[in-house]
This record gives sequence, structure tokens and C-alpha cells, in this order.
Amino acid sequence: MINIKKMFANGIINENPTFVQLLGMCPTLAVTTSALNGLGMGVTVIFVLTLSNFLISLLRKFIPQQVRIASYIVIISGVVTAIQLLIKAYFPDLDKSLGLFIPLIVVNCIILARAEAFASKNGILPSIFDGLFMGLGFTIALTILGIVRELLGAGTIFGFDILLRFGYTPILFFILPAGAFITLGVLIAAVNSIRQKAAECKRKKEAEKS
Amino acid sequence: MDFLKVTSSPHMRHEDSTRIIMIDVIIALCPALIWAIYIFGVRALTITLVSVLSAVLFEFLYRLIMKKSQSIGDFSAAVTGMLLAFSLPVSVPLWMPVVGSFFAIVIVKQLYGGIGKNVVNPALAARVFLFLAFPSEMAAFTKPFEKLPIFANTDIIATATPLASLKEGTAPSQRTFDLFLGNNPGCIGEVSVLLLAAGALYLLARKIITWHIPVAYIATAAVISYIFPGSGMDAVQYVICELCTGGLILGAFFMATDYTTSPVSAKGRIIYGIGCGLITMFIRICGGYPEGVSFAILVMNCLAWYIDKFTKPRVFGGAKKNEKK
Amino acid sequence: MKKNNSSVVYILNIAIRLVVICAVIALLVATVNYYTAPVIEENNRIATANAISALFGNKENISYEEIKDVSIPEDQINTVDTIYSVKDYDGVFLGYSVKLSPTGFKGDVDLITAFDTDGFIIGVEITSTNDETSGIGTKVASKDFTNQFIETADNQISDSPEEYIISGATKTSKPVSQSIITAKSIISKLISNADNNVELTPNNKVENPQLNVPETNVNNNAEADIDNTGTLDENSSENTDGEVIN
Repeated sequence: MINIKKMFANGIINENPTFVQLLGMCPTLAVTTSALNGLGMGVTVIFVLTLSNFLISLLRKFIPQQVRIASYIVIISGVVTAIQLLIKAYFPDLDKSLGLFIPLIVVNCIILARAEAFASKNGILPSIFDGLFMGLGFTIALTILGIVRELLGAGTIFGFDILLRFGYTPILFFILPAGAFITLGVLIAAVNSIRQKAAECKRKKEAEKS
Repeated sequence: MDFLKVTSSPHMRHEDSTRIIMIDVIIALCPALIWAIYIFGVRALTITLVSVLSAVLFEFLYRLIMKKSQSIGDFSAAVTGMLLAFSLPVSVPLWMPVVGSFFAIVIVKQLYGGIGKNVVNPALAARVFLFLAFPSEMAAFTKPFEKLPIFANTDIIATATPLASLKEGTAPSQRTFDLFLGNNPGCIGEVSVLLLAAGALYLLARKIITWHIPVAYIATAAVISYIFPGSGMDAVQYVICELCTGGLILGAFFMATDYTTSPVSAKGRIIYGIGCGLITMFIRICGGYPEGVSFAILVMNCLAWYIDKFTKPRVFGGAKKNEKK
Repeated sequence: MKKNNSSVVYILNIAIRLVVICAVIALLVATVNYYTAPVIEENNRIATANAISALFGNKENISYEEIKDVSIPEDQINTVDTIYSVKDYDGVFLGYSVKLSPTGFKGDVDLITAFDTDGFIIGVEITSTNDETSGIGTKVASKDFTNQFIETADNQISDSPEEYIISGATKTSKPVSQSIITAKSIISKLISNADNNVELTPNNKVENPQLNVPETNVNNNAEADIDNTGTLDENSSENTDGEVIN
């Protein structure tokens, strides 16, 4: 039986697609120039991931093994196209800011990796949850990255002035690609060191118990 | 026997001898600093002091917080601070060298493992960071002998540096001798070729640096500017102009020769110097920026280990590879 | 023999499955498209209409029609997107609007210009700076930059884009300035040709009453004499239906 709690922890922390699995780096670095863009991309990916996991899990017995990757791509690109049309129609502002990166979700490694590693081997409901939680982990990572970059690079968070009122000169560097790399590197280091310390604490506790 | 350690290169020297090397570098940089104070006013001194003090402070705090041994005694942070200050225009706000020092010491140097383990030159990386982060402040150069407040921020009327003039295709308005002496706008430590060269001679005499990198660097740059003179000047004059403007001399003698980020063998150093010269002139002539020295040295820093791999000195007494017994 | 058969069946099996999957996905996308296409088009129309209406002083119920068959200089064909003639709700001719997309530093910059009936620029609006460097290339979107192009009878823009360059942002500001200058010259030609049209085909008087005002700009008439030969019918080819905007 599926363990929802464990899957939730996996998606958000232990196997976080951005900070741990290091998947989907291209949109992560390119889109997080502001917190809102990061959040928007993340939410879009949640929908795409959940839907594609659902479809692939539904069809997993039907998709021939030898051409499964091609089939996954067809399904994923169909889902992404449909969602892109919906965004263009009902959220044109989001479409403007994310621009080219919405169709690029098709080749976002996270979607393909979860399809191959999970959805093709598990039932429909677990696949849906996996898509949801992995998407959530991705969204959290992107939003944090977007907040840091926007705060340091423009003095605002979600467009709300936080630092500018103090006469802060925005450090343009963090809006540029180089800043994305450095911020992401520091965040990955921070997340991993937190995980290490947590694992150590856990080990110590278990050692004391026995 | 705790004091016998086996480590891989670059081998760290004991704190004392590192300190002696760093003190020598500081001494070598002083003539240029004095000239900067003469030309740009006392603000040049305050920027340098702020930069040095914040670099030392950040290294001290980082080692303290991360529970590592203190390394400020080897004065390398001070040198980084000084070199960073030398790459800034004198009109920058005082908080800018602080931000730059943080980037140089914490992110470029300490996060990679401290002295000897950084991949790129910290002062240069911080200069590029500041250039990308605050493009308008970093491009605001003042005329020599303009009175600037010692501490306060200031609005200045920016003037074009000789390097910017060359980029646009016009000859710089200064005489060639002025460029050599240092009577032109530019960054704090890069204007006076004469005094920088004096400092460099001191370093060469003390055997702190070897001739290979600077000579290869400057020669390559000279050859390329001779072949492609611009700005309507005759070739020799153009060569002197190109060599004496911008951070070329400062970079060639003080930044490119940093032990950690340059190759070890003589052949490797010459290749490294040639590469620096090529990329610098390429960016200056064809690229979008007027100054190519910082990017060139950073790129060659990343290639240094690769050059080392190819120019490994021959090991005596080892067996031949394909010998069959 | 048997092996041959089974491998044919095998391949057919896979092929049919793939076709089914593709068909299902195609159906999904087509359905979504069917429902969203009109919404998307409406969005685009509203965006353009709002931009144009803002430039003409936020008048309500502005209608605009696309003008086709306008001669555009060779090197600017990719920059000029569409030329509209703009009327207000009562059919009074207000002027022209030109949508432009010059290539800046990294990508295109989208902008709309508005001209009054005499061909003077009354507004420039940068609708999107896309990929331009923020803080540097995006300076073209600032009022300081765009207000430079607003003209009056005594104060008109120059022909050379160099006068409007933002230092440090040349690669973005120069193409943008050039595109506005090109738009102005296209509209000037249009107006001077329409002038000639009015003299030759009196029917046009009803449609464009404003154009009866004699051209104050002597230069335009001189141009019209030279350009007259090939482009007589420019103004009478207003093809696409205009939309009434609320």
C-alpha cells in the first residue's frame, strides 16, 4: 500500500527534484528572476506532472516497452500543449512572463524521470500523488530561489517593496544568469547540509535508543 | 608522527612564509597606491582601507562561524582586499568594496576550501561580480585631480577612460607619456604603469613571481595590437596605448601570477600567459566590453589545471609506460 | 515462416498502439484548442485595442482597421508589424497607429506608435521589452525615452537614430529609435499619397474628411511628386474589418 506521508516527505525534502535530484535545472535557473515567475512555473509543472503521471499510469499496460520513451514524450507534449493553450487563454500575463519556458516543460527532466521511474510501474492513485508531491517540491524550490533572487536583485518580493525603502541599491547580478547559478549552488549546499545534520541527529537518537 | 602530512598540490606553505610573500606583494603595490592618492585624492586610500579591512573581517568571521582555524594571519585576505580596491573606480560608494570583499572572500575563496583551493582569482571574480551587479557605478570614472569627498557618496560627471576611447575608435586625449605615468582616468590601482612596473620589478627581484606569465601575457597583447592597430594611430603608438591603458599591467603582474590559479611549470605558465593575452585582446577588439583583462584571466584560471595536466614535468627514474618485461 | 509472421504481427502491434496513443492525445489537444482559440484571439484583440486607445488619449470605443499594401523599406520589413488607421466611435478619423517589433540586444522589443491626422507622433508605448537586460535595455520603456518622440508642428523628430541613443544601451535604443523614425516616414508617405488621392478620386472625401486640410509640411508634397507614380491606390485598400471596442 502506498505511504502518502513518505511520498510527501520524499517529494518535498528527501528527493526534492531541484535540490537533491538536480533535475530540470534549465527552467529553474532561467525562470526564477522573480518570485512570481518561479511560483507560476512551479504551479504549471504541478498540473503537467500530475496529469502526465495519471495518463502514463493509466496507459502503462498499453504502452509498448520498446517505444515507451517516445510514447511518454507524445503524452507529455500533448499535456503541455493543452495546458499552454489554457494559460494563453485565461492567464495571459503568466504566459507573457514565462514565455518560451512553458513549451520547454516538455523536455523538463523531472516529468520524464517520474514517468519512467514511477508512473510506468505503479498504480493510478500513487502516480497522481507522486506527481503532485514532486511538483510541490519543485514549486517550493523554485519559489524560494525566486524570492532570494528577486530580493537581492530588485529589492522586492512578489513585487512588494521590501528593501528599497531602506535605500537599498539592487544588485543586478542576481537577476542575471550568473547570479542564478551562484544562488542555486548556495541553496543546494544549505539544503544538503540541513539534511546531513538531520540524518546525523536521527542516527544519534537511534544509537541512544539501542 | 603528527607533523608528517601527505597532501596533494598546490602545497600549502606554512603561515609564516605565506605571510612574507603577501607582505612583499603589499609593498610592491604601495607605489601605485601612493600615486592613486596623489591623483584621485584621499578617497583612494579610504576605499583601499575599507576593502582590506572588510576582507580580513569576513575571513575572520567565516572561519570563526564554521569552526575552522584562523587564517587571517597569512595576510592573503589583505592582499585580496587591496587588489579588489585597485580594480574599482575611485567614485564608488564605500559599501561597494565591502560587498565585493564578501563575494571574494566568502564565496570565491572560503566556500571552495580556503587559500590554495580556490579555482579563480578572488579579487578578479569579485571585480567582475561588481561590474555585473552595479554596471553604472562601476563605469563612472573621474578626471584626475578632481576633489572627491573622503567618505560620502557623490554624484560625479563621468569621463571616458582612454580604454573606452580606444574601443570607440578614437585616439585617447592623453599623451602617451601621460598614459605611462598614470595621469589619466581609470581604476584606482591601474593607471600608473610606471609605478606598477616598479612594484613588479621588486617582486621579480624577490623571486615572488617569475617572468614567464607577465612577459608571455604582455608580449602576446603587444603582438596582436601591432598586427591590428585601431583608432587611426600608427602601429607602435597603438601598441603602447593598448598596453598602458586598462588593467593590463596590473593584471599581468599581480593577478595572473597568483599561485593557486596559475600553472606550475614554466612551459605551462607561458601557455597560460599567451592565452590571457589572446583573450584580452580578442575581447578588447571584437567583444562588447572595452576591458577584457578580468574575463581573460578568469577564463585562463579555469583552464589552469588542464594546462598543468598537459605540461607535467618529466619524472626521472620512472619506468617507461609500454615496457614489457 | 512462423517467425516472420510473428515479427510482422509484433511490429504491427506496436505501431497500432502508438497510433492509438497519438490519436487520443491529438483528440485531447484539439478539444482544448477548440475551446481556447477564440478566447486567445479575443485577448490579443483587447490588448492591441487597449494599447492603441491609450495612445489616443484613452478615448473609448475606438475602432481601427489594418492598412495593407503599404510600401515598407526593404531592411525594415521585419520591424514593421501592422499599420492601422484609427477612427473614434463616430467614424471621425483620428490618425494612424503602427505596431513595430525591432530587434534589440537579445530579442525583439514590441512597441506601438500613434500618429495624428497630420502625421505627427502623438505617442509611443513600449508594450514589451522581452529579453532586454533589465536596468539597461529596459530603459527604452521609460517615459523619459518615449516622450522624446512626441512631435508638435514646430518640434519634430530628427531622421537619425543616433540622437536618441541611450548611452550604455545602444544595442537596444538604436533599433527602437530607427523603427519609430521609419514608422514616421511610412505614415508621412501615406498621408501625402492620400492627399494626391483626394485630388484625383473625390470619393475618398467622404471617408477621410480630415485629409482635406492642406499639408503644412512642404517637404511631404515634394516627396509625393516623386512617389506618385507607383502608389496611387494605397489608401483605398482598407481591407480587414474593424472592431468596435467597448
